[in-house]
Amino acid sequence: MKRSLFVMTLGMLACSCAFMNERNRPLMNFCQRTLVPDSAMGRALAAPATVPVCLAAGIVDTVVVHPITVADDAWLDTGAAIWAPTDRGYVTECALAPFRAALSPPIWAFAFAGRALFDVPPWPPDPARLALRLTDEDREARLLAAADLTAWAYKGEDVEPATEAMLAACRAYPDDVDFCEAVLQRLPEPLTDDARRHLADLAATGRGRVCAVAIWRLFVDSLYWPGTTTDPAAAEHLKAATDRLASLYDRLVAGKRHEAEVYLAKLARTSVQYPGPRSLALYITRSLARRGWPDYAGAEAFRLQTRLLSSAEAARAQAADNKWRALRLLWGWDTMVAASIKRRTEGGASGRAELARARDALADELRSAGPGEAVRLLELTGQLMRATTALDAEETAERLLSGPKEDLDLFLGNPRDLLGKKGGP
Amino acid sequence: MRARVCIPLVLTLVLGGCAFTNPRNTPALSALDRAVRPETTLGKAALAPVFVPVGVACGALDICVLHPVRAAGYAAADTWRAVWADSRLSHTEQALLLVPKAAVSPVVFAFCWFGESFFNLRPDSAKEPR
Repeated sequence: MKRSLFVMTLGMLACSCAFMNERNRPLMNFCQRTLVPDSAMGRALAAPATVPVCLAAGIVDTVVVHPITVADDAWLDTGAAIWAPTDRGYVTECALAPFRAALSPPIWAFAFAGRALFDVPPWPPDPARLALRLTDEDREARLLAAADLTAWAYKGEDVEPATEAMLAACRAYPDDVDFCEAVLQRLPEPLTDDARRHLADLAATGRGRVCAVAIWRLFVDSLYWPGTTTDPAAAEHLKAATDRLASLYDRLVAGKRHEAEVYLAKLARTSVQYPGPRSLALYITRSLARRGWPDYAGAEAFRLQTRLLSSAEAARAQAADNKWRALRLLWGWDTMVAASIKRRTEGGASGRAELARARDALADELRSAGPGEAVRLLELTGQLMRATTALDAEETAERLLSGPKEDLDLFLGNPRDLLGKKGGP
Repeated sequence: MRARVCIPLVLTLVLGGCAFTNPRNTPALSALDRAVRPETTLGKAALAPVFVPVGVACGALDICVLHPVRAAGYAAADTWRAVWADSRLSHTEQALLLVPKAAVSPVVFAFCWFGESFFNLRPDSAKEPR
């Protein structure tokens, strides 16, 4: 029992051991890159020579190189643990200094041992070092630095220079989509004016994964603001961020960037419980209504309205202006359209005439419902709504099938995927 | 061995809620903080040889004398409220309970005094203007 527990503990520890992460094996990575041939045959032939060398490099990494590289991070850990200012005054800081000095070596040793043995994310480098790492000529090193950004958070006075470094790296390598995507996702909060402008320009292109990530990052900016919700500065920021998204939506509509437009609508719909996205969702619904409910955005418009109806009072007033479109089209309208499209593409006949007849018959029956037939009235009304929805779905499917293929794909597919596939940076 | 492991653990847990983390509980240090405010780095460095020992001495004075003395007042008030302040009892009942109350009072006082002296039990007071 003891032995199995020991083995289990060792196994669990080994999973997060420092040497398990390739970032912590620079020498071994170098040996692998330079010594190991690309072809399988070459690798097999060179193995007797390369395996011992790489193994030795791995041992040197674990015992010497990695511990040396984490020594400064252990100092930063110590600083964060006991040297952080108390904001109480000069004399308190003086009084604490001897105790802090006495505690520093054991805390540093503890942090150093932890970082040397286990895979603890490194501290963020200062913005100047970050700029150097993100503009490294070696793509692997750049991607590694970009991946590290997920563990780092720049705050306070570091936000602006770190943002500048990240934007400069994206501008230096605009064609490296994986890199730009990773960097833009992790732009520090709050977004600087330069970052907002850069993201808005990328978003307005309406093409590619970088555009998608720019829209997403701008959208996240409208979700929340550090601090309390009652803070006037927070409310002002969220209002400005939401208005910027509304302007971006108009730019996308004007530029006929349909995928990007629908993606932004989808983002608003999925976070409609927050005030910013709710306002944006209402704005988008109004825009769609004014444009006569374009079919390519039909599925998203329907979902957006149904979500809004259940979460925003103002949406009900707007729905009345839109002749209760989302209610008129029962829940499940979008799946009916998809089913109809599938049936028609597989060679099925149009059911429009039959559905129209059924709807008219139900409407006649409803008109002829006699006095005192309350239950029948309810049943007939439900049936009429279903028939109307089915007919509307059939008509929409026909329009989509006879229109451009991009509109049909956008109706049926995921706007983010389609935006990513559209090409461009 | 067990004590060696437990002591740092308990110390770490306790330090987070220690009395001296609240400026209200270190009156001498707080008074000096208000009085001595060097602006420049040079000024801070020049004053450090004086104020490091002074600060440590003031901190020790606060922790060992001033705060425990003040905490005794809080502890006495708590003991009064917990043991003696219940006026719903009749005179006979109060007379009957006089001896047990007198016996319990030192224990309750010691418990409250210990708590008030060592832990930051009035964290809201940190928000009051110093």
